[in-house]
Amino acid sequence: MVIFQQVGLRYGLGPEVLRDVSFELAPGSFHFLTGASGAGKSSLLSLLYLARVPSRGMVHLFGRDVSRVVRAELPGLRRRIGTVFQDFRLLDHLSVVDNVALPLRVQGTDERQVRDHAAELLAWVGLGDHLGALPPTLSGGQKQRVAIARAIIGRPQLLIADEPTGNVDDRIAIRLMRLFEELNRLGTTIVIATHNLQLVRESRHPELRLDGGTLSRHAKAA
Amino acid sequence: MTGFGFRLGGELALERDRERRWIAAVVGALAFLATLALGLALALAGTAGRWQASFQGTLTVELPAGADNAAVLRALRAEPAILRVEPIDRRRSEALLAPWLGAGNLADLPIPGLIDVKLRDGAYLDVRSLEAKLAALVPGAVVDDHARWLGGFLALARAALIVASIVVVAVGLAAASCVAFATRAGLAMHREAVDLLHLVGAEDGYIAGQFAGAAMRLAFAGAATGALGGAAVLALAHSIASSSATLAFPLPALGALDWVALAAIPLAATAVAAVAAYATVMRNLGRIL
Repeated sequence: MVIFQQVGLRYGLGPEVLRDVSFELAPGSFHFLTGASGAGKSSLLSLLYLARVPSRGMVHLFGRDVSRVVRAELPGLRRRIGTVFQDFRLLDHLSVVDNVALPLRVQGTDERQVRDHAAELLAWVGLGDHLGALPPTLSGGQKQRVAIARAIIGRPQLLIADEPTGNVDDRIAIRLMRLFEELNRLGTTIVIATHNLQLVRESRHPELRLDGGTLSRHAKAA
Repeated sequence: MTGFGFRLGGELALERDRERRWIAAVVGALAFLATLALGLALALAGTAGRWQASFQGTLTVELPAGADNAAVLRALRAEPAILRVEPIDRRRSEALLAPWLGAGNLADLPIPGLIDVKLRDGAYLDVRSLEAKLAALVPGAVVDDHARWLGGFLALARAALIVASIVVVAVGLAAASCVAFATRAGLAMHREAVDLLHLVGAEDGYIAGQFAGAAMRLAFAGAATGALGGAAVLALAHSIASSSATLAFPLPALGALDWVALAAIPLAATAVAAVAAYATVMRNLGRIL
């Protein structure tokens, strides 16, 4: 599913923010990505959701070397990935349901199916009565759930979440983790970047720990 | 890419950008200029065409004032290529000159004798040979086949059309440049939303379609207003000029096809704007991942 080999990443002429990162994620696996602020978690995630290509090394996604993928193939690969961004990246002028519907709309899915599916998913994350609301009127936790609904509406094979429980209370955090577990049981490969070490400890899933841009630990599940 | 398609709405909500509304004003002004230039050239060309058709197969024989035209009329009627010969009497000649010289000033003026000649359809006549023959009968007789002055007028009309075409092309390029500039600015302004669309799997064509749709809408509104303004000015100018009874020169008027050509200006401007926006987005998106 995902293979990183000796991956390095730098921004412009700056220093490398990722150095010699190598790991492999099997299909259907569930991993936590941990590390201090500035350790390179967001950079690594940006390689995973195809916002960047590595400065060196090789990244394989779904059996493709992303450095060799032609531009026209990128949308197809990105549709197989769902991403929950730390800052949500919701479009403030679009309603909640339209934000969630975005991944299906860009694929040209039938409009009735898009709205039905988006509304159903929003009901599932507890926002069924906020379909027409605009993001600026939502709390942080509600925005988080909208972002999660948008990430999973396209039934991605790989789900990447950057601090998905960072803006929600414990009750919602537990509910979101159950949601990720459920998706994982359905076969979705999941990578969650988090500062919440308690969450990692309580989980049976392995941890990828970044320290100063290098992968310092690749623990297996107990 | 399968995402090609001009969208009038969309996730980027480009229609909400107040900063891009000047596209309509600029394209409108350019369409106004293009309409005036093309309208005047088409009117001139149309008039030249009508004159050419009306003078086709006709000659005018001009005799010195006071000369006897009987021998000349006989010689003309003897020519097989000539269908009809019609001398113009002094009263009609005075009526033709009145707009320039005034009706009351012609009584003592030596007016040349004029003869209208109509040729048979498809018949060939050597005009210079005929002129030599008539000059032998009446010294100073001249045969005018209208080619000299009509040729100059046709050349003027052709030149006007060429100039107008250049103006229309230049206006189109200017409109495309404005739209491309505004589109680049819009891309920069909406960079985060564009990135998001990419990350959820949008193809470049999907994003470019939204910019093209917004540019189309603005350009059409501007160009339609500008072209209507230009057409109104043309109609007003023709109306004012036509109402002046002292004008002797026939006024250029636009035909139905000319108005259709002018109506194409806003459509062409809209298409140019859409293509310019689409191409600009596709080119710029190609530079980012």
